[in-house]
Amino acid sequence: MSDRIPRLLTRLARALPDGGFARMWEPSLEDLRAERRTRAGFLWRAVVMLAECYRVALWAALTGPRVRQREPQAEAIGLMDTLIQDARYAGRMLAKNPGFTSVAVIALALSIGANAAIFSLIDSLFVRRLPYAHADSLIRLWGQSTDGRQQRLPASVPKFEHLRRSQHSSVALAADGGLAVAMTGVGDQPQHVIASVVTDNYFDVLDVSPIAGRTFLRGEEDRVPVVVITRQFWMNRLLSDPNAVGRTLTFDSRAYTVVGIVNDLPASDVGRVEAFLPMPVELSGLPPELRQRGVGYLRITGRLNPGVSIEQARAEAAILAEQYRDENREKADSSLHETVIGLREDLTGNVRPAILTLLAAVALVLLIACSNVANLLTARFAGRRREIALRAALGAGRVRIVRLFLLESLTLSGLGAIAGLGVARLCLEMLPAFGATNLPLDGVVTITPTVLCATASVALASGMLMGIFPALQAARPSASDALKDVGRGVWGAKAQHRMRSMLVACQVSLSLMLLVGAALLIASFANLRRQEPGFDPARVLTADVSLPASRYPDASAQQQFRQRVLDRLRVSPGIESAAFAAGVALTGLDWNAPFARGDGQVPTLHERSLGLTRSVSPGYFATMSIPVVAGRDFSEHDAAESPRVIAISQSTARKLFPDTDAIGKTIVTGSLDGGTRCEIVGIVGDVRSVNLAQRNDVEFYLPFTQRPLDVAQIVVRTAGDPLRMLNDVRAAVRGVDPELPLNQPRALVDVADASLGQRKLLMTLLGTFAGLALLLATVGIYSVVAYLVGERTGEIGVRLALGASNADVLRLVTLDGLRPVTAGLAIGVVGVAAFGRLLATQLYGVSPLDPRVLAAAASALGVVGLIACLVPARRATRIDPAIALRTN
Amino acid sequence: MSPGTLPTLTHLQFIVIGALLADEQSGKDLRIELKRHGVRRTGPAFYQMMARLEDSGWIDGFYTQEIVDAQIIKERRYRVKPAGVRAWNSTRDFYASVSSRFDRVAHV
Repeated sequence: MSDRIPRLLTRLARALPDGGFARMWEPSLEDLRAERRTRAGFLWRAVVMLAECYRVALWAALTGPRVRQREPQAEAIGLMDTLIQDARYAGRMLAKNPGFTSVAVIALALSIGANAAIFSLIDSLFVRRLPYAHADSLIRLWGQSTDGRQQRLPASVPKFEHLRRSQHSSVALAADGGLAVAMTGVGDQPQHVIASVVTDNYFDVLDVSPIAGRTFLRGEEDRVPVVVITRQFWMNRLLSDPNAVGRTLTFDSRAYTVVGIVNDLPASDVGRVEAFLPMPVELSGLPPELRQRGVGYLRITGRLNPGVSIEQARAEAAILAEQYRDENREKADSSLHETVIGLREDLTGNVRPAILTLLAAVALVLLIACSNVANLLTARFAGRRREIALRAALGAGRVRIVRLFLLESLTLSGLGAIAGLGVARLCLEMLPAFGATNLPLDGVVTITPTVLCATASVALASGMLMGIFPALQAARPSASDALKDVGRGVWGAKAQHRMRSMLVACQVSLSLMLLVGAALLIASFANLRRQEPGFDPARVLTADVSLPASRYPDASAQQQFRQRVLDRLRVSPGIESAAFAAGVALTGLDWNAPFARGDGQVPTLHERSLGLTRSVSPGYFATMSIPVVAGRDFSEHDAAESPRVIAISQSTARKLFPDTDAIGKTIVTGSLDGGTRCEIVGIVGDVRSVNLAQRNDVEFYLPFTQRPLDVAQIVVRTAGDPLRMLNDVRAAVRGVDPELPLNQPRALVDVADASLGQRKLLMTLLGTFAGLALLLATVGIYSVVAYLVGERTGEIGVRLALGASNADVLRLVTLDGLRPVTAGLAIGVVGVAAFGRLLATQLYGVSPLDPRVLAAAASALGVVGLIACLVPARRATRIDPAIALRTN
Repeated sequence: MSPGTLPTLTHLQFIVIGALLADEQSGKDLRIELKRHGVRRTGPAFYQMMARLEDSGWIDGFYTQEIVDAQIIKERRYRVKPAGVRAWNSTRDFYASVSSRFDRVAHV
């Protein structure tokens, strides 16, 4: 058992007030130690003892001076008694009005629940510690293009070696890269395993200890065929074999000895990796010449030396990148800058704006709920003026009355928080259905003690916020005035009416902000869904195929495999066309290569920009339905030894050859021998291949034969449901190589949908919160107008008796009710500007201050407000003047 | 203190200081002594009470340590101070005088 619990207990004990740690905790703990219990018994007793310490300390704080020699408990009993008395009374009063209590508790439960759910997400994403020791000192190094448009670019082998050799700010630098391998010899069929090629110090840098065996030794890198597997791999694939360490596994026809088992590393960091191989260079998936030419595929992780800040590491990385540029001008990545960020930020940085937006949204919902309940409390406390007057007459001070009412609102918020935790749990259970798989979460999101503390704080703050003003206002009048006016219904009415109107205006303005925010996100999502990606993802199936170097050592063997698979696929019924690509649009497999126009003065390699470059086989454009707008598609004649050819996108043609026809012109691409000259043979339509929201400035396509890679994706256009053809595709691959598994088969439509997952989650959640806000605001407006009608029954009776028509009364009540709504809408427009700024980064194709969206949201809120006013207003017209006058 | 005014010590304080008059004692032993009088106090509540006695200058608290089975065991021990002896004597006198008066009443 770890020492975490005793350490935690000691830390909690140190927080005891008034020297409680030394006074109570230390001697009690020593006595407990002397009892020599079992460890479990000791821990349990220590936890109970800590709770007792806090109880004693709380009692001491409540009872005042610590040294009490006479009548030690008299004062304490007085204070505690009244508090308990007031709390019981508050409970009784709430129980007497179940309607009011349930409305208030439901409103608070929904809003506090939404807050707790978002707190849980924040806790999981940003607060919970990564399972690495001293994770705060872990950093990540990424490349960045000179213009900053391309970020988080992986490092090449030469660059990593340069950084590893020359840096001083980190204890060490480690690197890893993704790799998909086929495992044979375990089970009947070859199995697809997601592995990672890592440097031999990878686990040392992360400070991860093995749970069995060992991790890698110095000198094993790219030399010794060993593997470290994860706990999940050991349990699922090796069926918890007790002799797993030392066993031999075959990956891509090569034998590796299992030397250790480690706990599963966080999915947010390593994805679904199950095995680690110390072959970062040998199994890179790149030909040696490309590797040495500066093609990047390594993710660098470091651990800062004690006392070194990230800023210092960043400065050092910039200097080292400069040195690398000077010494390696012929390398493809020589022009890249190096950036350093903390590991936590690296994993969660891209979801931060979305989560901040949601946090702001739930805070707004909570404010609306608070103002709603405050409104109800104002009416409720005002209705108890006789009780207040009596209490005051009998000697109760203002503080005591305020305390009594505050206890009521705190009880409400406490009940709301308890119910809210249930709501939060439900929300978290539904999270995967909303698309939370797009968030970098490790495991299930749960309500942790941290979230509980935050929720309790929110409940406490809400209770104070919504109770303090109504309580202060209710406790204001003198007893004699109130007693004289009992039953008149006019006491304090003006001030309270003003306050209730202000609260309604506040609710309306906050609701407008949320409604506009949700409408903007929905419009953005709709724009993105409507966005033409430049290809047709319907009926297209894609899957990864990784060719092991042991069986496919050269480009010709790889090309033969691809051609044979395509030959089989093309004759398969139900398949319209098929091709290979590295990689298929939106699948995340994107390569950047330096490029330049081939005519005139060609800039040196390190001065060239990077552009998206894909290797595709003939038929790729037809399979993806990418139009060839000029020139031709690749063909079987574009062989390895043929003149080099290239196809470019329309945007590339416009950018590089604005005044002339690009067909026949030359592009220098890649880094081999200073770049390869390729003749442009085709111009194809623009494709949003990285991200549906982003148009690519440049995109190049090279034939696979002339730019071979051992990683590729099959892409197949089918006549019907693409997933139904999966077995045919698998059979075609197995027919050529029975040991080759098909990795990650998926319909391209699903890939396109998944690329919008995070936006969908944000839109759904913000839409839900906006709906909740609208509901709360409607209830708020309705309750205020209904209360107003009740208060003015006598006045309305007089008006009707004096000849006012129903229409006059309807107009009077509705206009009075709509006044705070209109004011709220006006204030809300100003708030929308602030909220829109927060949302700006999440929007696509719509401005944060889009007048149509603003007008639609304001109109919707206005109509809802009008309906909420009309219902009680109609009731007012049915007042019988005789009864109303008699009542008063 | 005149026999007419209320005593300085509460009954618990009286028992604790009374137990310390003979010799210094550990907190653990004092809790056993209290238990013998039917008073059950949790560790934290007991040590909070002892801390208050120390604050008022009636007793002294200190730690001793011994090694048992290669483990250092610390123990909080207490000894009474002159002010504590005086307070205990005056409390005892108070109860003695009050009880003697009630004794007389009872005999009538």
